[in-house]
Amino acid sequence: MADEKNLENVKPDEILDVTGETCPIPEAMAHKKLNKMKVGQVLEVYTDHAAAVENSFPAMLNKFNYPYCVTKTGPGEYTIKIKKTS
Amino acid sequence: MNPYFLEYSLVAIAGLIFGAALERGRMCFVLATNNMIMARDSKILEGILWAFGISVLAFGIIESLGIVPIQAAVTGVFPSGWYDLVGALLFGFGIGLCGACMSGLIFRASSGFTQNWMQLFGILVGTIFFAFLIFPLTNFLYWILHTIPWLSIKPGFSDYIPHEWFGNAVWGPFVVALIFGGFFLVLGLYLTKRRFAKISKERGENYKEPIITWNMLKFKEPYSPRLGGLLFAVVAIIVLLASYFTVHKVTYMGVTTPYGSFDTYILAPFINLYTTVGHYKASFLPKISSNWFQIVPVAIPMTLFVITTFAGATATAILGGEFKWRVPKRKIMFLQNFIGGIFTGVGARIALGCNIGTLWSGFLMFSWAGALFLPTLVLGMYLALKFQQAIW
Amino acid sequence: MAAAKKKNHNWCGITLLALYGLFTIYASFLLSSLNKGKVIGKLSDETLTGIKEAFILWGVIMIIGAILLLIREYVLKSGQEEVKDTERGVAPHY
Repeated sequence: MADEKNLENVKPDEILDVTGETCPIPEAMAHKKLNKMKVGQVLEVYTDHAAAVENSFPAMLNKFNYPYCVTKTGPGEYTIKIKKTS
Repeated sequence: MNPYFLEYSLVAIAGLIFGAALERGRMCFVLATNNMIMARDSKILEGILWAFGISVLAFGIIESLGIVPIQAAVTGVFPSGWYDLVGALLFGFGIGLCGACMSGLIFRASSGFTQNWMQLFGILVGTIFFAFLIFPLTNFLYWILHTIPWLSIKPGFSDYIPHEWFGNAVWGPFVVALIFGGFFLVLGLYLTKRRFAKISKERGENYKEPIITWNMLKFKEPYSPRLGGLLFAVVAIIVLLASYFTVHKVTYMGVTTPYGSFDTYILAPFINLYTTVGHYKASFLPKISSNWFQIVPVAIPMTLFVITTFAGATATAILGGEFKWRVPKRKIMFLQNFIGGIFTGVGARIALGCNIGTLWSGFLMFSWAGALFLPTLVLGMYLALKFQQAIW
Repeated sequence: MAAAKKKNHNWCGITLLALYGLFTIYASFLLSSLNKGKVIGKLSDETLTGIKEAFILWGVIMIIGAILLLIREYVLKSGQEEVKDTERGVAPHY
């Protein structure tokens, strides 16, 4: 939990912009990007697909057990920061 | 009052509820399948299982009690056969590429996803392509295959499972509903229980999600998918009863054929489609040289239903503060969605319906259409997911 | 950051809603003109009137809905508040 609090202000190492795209592309691309990243790096995802933020990302990240933090940056706009921990 | 006016108006109200349930509950078959495959998360799937289970059980009760007699219920049953398998595969691949099923498309497009408007355009183009090029050909194939009994099942009583199993027994629909609907509902309840148990274990507390809260009704929160499922069932029941008690013709849920009638609305001022306005003539089917618009009536209540579904979803998206004109960063997505839309349109036409019209309604009609549509649909969506994981 | 371009797109949605309404009204008129032409399966006058009235009624309802949302948006300003509402670190209800 502490990890998730800290994530808010961490500078991301990689940025993935999937605004305007629907499932499964945000999750699939984030998954692919996370696979290529090193442990300890942080990925920032921009998305405006509410369903991805509510369901797909939390479900996927809980499965991997990666800490993440969602920020609502506007109407229907979200930024997700994910830390690769393993 | 004019019964047609009453039918169309009631169905339109059902459309508004359907739109709200779709948009607020995020009820999308692609989302459910992808979440299940990629993350083993069943949240959306539970909503869909609830929708199927409750509505099938309700239809069984309605038909067994004779509120809508079996003889009337049968008139709306589609034929099912090999084309359900073929169509569902194309359809599943198409909706997987677009990331939105035929009903998910409505809520995405109406909450401002431009790529799903592109998908809708693709569906309209695909339907025209089917209507003028594939239809005469498949029509011919229908004719061949309808002569081989084990390859296809004819519409009406012979494709009505309660009649097939129990003859004309009044309790037939109820027993069949108990088998199919009960299975869906029990599976849905089990998945919910399993998910709660899993989260409770992770968090070390007793975790539960309410089905309905005040914030959901005030559009502050999205609906729980299970509430969405409940509303789906309510919508299907309204549509069935409204159509039966007004013009004594049974209407099942369907959103694909209305897209065909959108085509008519767009094309008719420019070219003569020789379209039919009033009723469906099954006797046209074996005719080789006909276009699809000739056998599908323009005047169907579901057209108004789809328009009000769009309206309901847009309205709830605005009320929930989620409407945004979303243009994808990568413009190639428009192409992918257009191609996916064509697959969706053609596949849905080959299977005589989409995930609503054939899959859900197939179970509601107690025909084999739903069961035939499901396996290749899932296969198509799985292939599309793998394809996208490979190329992006 | 993406947060720089905060925009309220509700007017787009309201326009869409009004367009659905106009399309519905157009569809009702097209239906009656189609019925006059040489087509298979003509509708009786009573049927056509009922269908047409229902389409027009719902077209008008959608346009009224759009106007109500417009009032909510620009007179009551309740739509604008949601734009400012940027919650940080929202834990999604998984």
